[in-house]
Amino acid sequence: MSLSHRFILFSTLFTTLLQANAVIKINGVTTDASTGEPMQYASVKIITEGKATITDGEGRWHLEAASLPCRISVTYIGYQSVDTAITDNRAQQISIALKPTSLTTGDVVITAQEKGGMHGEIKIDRNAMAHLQPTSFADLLELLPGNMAKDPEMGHANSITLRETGTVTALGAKTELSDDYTTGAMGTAFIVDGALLSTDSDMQSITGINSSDASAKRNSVNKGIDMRSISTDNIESVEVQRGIPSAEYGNITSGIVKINRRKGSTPFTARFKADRFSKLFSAGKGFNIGQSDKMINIDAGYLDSKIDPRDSHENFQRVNASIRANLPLNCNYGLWKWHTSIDYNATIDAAKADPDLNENKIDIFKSSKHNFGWQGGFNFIAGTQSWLRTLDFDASIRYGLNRLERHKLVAPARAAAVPVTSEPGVHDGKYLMREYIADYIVDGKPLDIFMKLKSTAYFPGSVISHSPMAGAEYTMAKNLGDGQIFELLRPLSASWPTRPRKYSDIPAMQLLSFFIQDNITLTAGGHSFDFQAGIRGLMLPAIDKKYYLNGRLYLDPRLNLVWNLPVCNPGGKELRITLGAGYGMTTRMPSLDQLYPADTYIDLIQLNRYAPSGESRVNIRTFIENSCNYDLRPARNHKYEFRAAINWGGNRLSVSYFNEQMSSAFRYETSFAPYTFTRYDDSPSSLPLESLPSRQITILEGVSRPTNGSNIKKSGVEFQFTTQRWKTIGTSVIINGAWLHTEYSGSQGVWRKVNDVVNNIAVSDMYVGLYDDDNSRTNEQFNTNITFDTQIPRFGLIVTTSLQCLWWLSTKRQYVSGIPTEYIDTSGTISTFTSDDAIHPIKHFLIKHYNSELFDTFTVPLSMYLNVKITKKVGRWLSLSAFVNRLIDYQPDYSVNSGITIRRTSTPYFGMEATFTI
Amino acid sequence: MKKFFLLSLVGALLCTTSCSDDDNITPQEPVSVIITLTHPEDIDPSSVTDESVTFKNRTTGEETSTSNISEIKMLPGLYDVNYAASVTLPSGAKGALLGSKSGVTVSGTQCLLELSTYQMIPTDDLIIAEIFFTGTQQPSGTQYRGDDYIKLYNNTDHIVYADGLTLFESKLNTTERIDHNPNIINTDVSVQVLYTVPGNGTEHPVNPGEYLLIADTGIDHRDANPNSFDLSHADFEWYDQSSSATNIDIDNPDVPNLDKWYSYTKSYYVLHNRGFKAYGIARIPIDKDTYINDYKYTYNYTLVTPAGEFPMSADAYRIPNEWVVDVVNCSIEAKYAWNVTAPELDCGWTYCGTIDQDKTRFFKSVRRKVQLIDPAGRVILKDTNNSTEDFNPECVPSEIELQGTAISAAGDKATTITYDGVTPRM
Repeated sequence: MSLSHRFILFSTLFTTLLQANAVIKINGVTTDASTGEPMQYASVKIITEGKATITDGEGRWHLEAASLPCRISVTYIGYQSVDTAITDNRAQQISIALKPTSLTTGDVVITAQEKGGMHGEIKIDRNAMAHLQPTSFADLLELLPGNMAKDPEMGHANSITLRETGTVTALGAKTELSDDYTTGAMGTAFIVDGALLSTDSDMQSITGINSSDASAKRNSVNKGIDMRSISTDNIESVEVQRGIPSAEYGNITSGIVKINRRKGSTPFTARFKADRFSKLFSAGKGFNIGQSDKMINIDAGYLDSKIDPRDSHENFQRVNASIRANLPLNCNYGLWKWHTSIDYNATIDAAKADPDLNENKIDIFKSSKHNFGWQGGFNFIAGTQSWLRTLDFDASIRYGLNRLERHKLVAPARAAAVPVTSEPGVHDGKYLMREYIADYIVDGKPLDIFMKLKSTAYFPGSVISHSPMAGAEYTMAKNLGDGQIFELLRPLSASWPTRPRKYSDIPAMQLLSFFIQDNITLTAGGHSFDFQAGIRGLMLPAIDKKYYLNGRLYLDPRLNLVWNLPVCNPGGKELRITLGAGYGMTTRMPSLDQLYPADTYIDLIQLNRYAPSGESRVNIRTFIENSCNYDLRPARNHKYEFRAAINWGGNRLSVSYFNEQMSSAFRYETSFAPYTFTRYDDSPSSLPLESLPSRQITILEGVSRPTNGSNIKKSGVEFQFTTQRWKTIGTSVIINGAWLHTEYSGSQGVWRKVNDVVNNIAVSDMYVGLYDDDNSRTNEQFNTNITFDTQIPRFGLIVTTSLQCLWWLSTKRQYVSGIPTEYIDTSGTISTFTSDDAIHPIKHFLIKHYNSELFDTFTVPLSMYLNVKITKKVGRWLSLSAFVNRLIDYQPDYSVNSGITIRRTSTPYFGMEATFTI
Repeated sequence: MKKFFLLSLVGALLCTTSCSDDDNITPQEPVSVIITLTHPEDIDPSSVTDESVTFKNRTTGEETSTSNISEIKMLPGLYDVNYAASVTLPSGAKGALLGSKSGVTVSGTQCLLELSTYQMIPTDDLIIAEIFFTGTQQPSGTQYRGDDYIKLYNNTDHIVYADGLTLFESKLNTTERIDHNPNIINTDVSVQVLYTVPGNGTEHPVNPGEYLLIADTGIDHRDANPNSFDLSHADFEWYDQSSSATNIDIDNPDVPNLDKWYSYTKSYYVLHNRGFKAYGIARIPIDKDTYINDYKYTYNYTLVTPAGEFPMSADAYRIPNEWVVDVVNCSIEAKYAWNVTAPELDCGWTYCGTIDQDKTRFFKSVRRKVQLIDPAGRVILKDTNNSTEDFNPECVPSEIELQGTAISAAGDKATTITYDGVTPRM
């Protein structure tokens, strides 16, 4: 028996057992059309009555219908569904054979499919991925509504954005997510074979580094999964849930990406891909042990990618390998399925300055992340007689050996002063005069533990059936690394704000969650309703009492309703209409970095006496400020949505409107306080420190702390329309797209320094103002992708032509007045900024001026691209694919206010690959 | 070249300075250029003699001069135009009349060009003799910042006191033309840095033919960069006191500090090391507090880039042109867009390096040309308020010459000694 038949869809477990009178028993058996073997766990449903069951180990099933004739549908993932009418029950057994989709030539699904489920699920299967020819998981996002084909960007961390426009610059260019608005990416959970890929213990960043540094661009701390690290080659299917998730999933804000890796007997498959940026090789094989149904899958892959093909100094490599075992075990009460896997995943980012081109001759960056994972668990599927249906346990341990190395020639401009100790108080620093080589190492050893227990039950009723679910989840994140290591006298730049820090001193973060949910199915008069109500609670049980989060339990209610209208047959074709709605809250706890940020060191120069002939002395007073925000709350997202799906004779349209409001997203913000120190007069340069004339000076200095200061509001409409394949030309049309409206703003004011120095006094030493958030934008876009999917089975040829249009992209900066609402002075007092302050000799410098046109909406008009992808089977073993993105582009010129004409150009991106299946 | 004559006198006002377009004309046909001159009010037109006008083609670099300014025909193109004449003042003193306009488009059948002239009077104060803004390089090739300096010179025949002289840097860049609103370029210089020489008025005398060295940091820079040189003998330094260890400046107690009136940056201030600014000196006749309170200047502009436009707003200070003693526009040939000061202050520009990020610019300064050396040996420097004419670009800096220190990252030493970077010193 083929192993993929063991795949189970629990959500389709519905049966209606009790009937008042006149029950008609229908018995059947379901087999695999390709092998003739019986199929277990296929879902069988009386469409007209909403009753359903699943097949047993021999493929047998039985149902009790209220009347005849009735229609029965049999569905199984990876197989074409069968819909059949039963007119009488005299046959002993109704035989239904399901054809696997991979063999039903001419009907390979090469796009993402809206599943029409209650959580806004969209599914991408292996065929779609093979045709798309991805380099990493990031490329798959093209298939989601609202996304377009994008060149791989291997030079920086790839964070996921679901249902949002992402960061857009003033001139309408899409860039990486701004650090202030990464909570959506951080709040998208990646679940591989039931186990969470946690990012909470990732601390591979250099504190205080300039944002243009090679290490900053590749920093994925607090940005969720870096999708570059996920290879697509061992994935069987991906399901992206964008809507209101089941209570089973938590510690998220935006959504869930469920990755199911290949399992079962698969032929040896080898893939080679080459494009402008990268070369990729992967191989995999799955087999049964002897004649048993125990299965083992092995795969490995390698990617070598250059950020710019002309530059060999910057590249990204990925190595992945995995061995997975699935061991089914039959017993009297049901079926036990054990699974376990060992995984290895490594990414290596490297960038170095070209010594021939760069002024800083030595400038090397290398970041390697080696992750080792074990995961295991069991699924128990009870026999049909028991009220307990399933019991699942999943656990995983992931351990990483991460090392970020920076090796750089540093040339201080004139002399720079550096502190020599990590202790607070007064001490003498050192002048750095000559060039030196700085070595900076970030050593991280993240350890993540995940455990989840879940059980489902089933209580049938005549009209209402209940299918409750309950469970609990525990995760732990800890970093055992040596942390940030560098010599104080050789910092990465002459102005260095931090000190070495050991990550292993940071406490572990533990997250405990439970969930309980009921799935209620109600059938009445041809209508059927699925109502899901659940609640998930999460807390950090071991967090210190100083934190607000200590002892607090956060509850996420989740409600989903699906209403299936009675099936009718207008125009002789079956019409099914499904309406849905959902409301829910999702809560994301802070990461390890946000709970335990590095201390801030404030080094104030008390004496700066440079006397090469005499005694040079730099005296420093160091204040150490704890950067923890004990008042930090979790980021909470409120979501609601409405959906409609229409299926008429195989033509499917689904539309959903969504609205998400998250006013407590994470960001770092600086707050200011006065610091008093002694400033010594350096003129009588031979005297000791104590006898120098001095005075006490108080200035304002800032500490950057994690806050809940970001506001992310997302709304929009997503749609997908798929036609039936027109037999004569073998073509179907898929139109998907989205209107997305995203507001990124600050939910609190921001303290900002001004740079003016007046009369030898820095204004920001005396006053710092509180302003409207200056990193707030509202973006809007509308796009459609029209894909013509032509499949000619005779030639083993699949050609898709995708016309991708971004109809408009607009961005508007939120108005900021530039006049502070409040200001802080050196006494620490916060006062309202009045009209008198606006003409005060010093305080008036706090007023910032903005050109009013800055807040106008900037709109980029239509851009249209034509992308072509071709897959051709050659002989028995070889399949060749090629793609050209932006083969043709139409980007009309447009003019901006000043009258200049913006001309847009693009270059095609192409590649090809060969897949051997032996 | 065929020439055409028309000279309009004072009062003839024309609204346009650019030329009319006519697409029907083949572009290579010479175009008549009709110059309308507007002289200062107290100038009698009949006292103007020896007129000449120079057209420099921006694209080809070709210069065309003529003294017959009434009959000019030029090939179509983009030109920088300079006008010069002698004038006898009512007082009987001889002076010069100058006028200039940059970026004149000559096209169509006829080009109407309106030029305002101004009278040039030799500066009766210190003038800028040298600006070393590029800095030096470390042996590895890395830029070194801190050894930049400005040298002032007493070009007069009497003692001039430096007290109260304000050093400034322009807010605007010469490499980026912006339409700023309000536009004050004809009346004021917009500035972002102001440092003033301290003193009661007679504390810091500069004798005729003497220099005043104002350094960024008055230390022996060879301690930090073996390729640099000694500035510990500087007359003044600009010191930026900071409490933060992240951007400290070095204060040599033996070199007096300039009084920092205003700076746009909290970090230490260095001269623009690609030289995109105008540098100048001014005598501000009002006290510091009044100036700081009353001479702020806020303007809007649109930054236009190939990718689109950015509406911007900026804050600066302004110095009325009458207070300005001397100003030098610096730029680079590849990106020069305009002069950021009025033509009467400076109608040319000078440079170190020709392209952006030019690596050949290091160890080089701009130095004012020697006009003549009088019998007593006093050097008279050229001062026509045209930095293109008055300065030698890309010279070995005078301090490097005098100290015989490095002129390249490799450490090659300076061997020549000159008056102005070109004229050898005997």
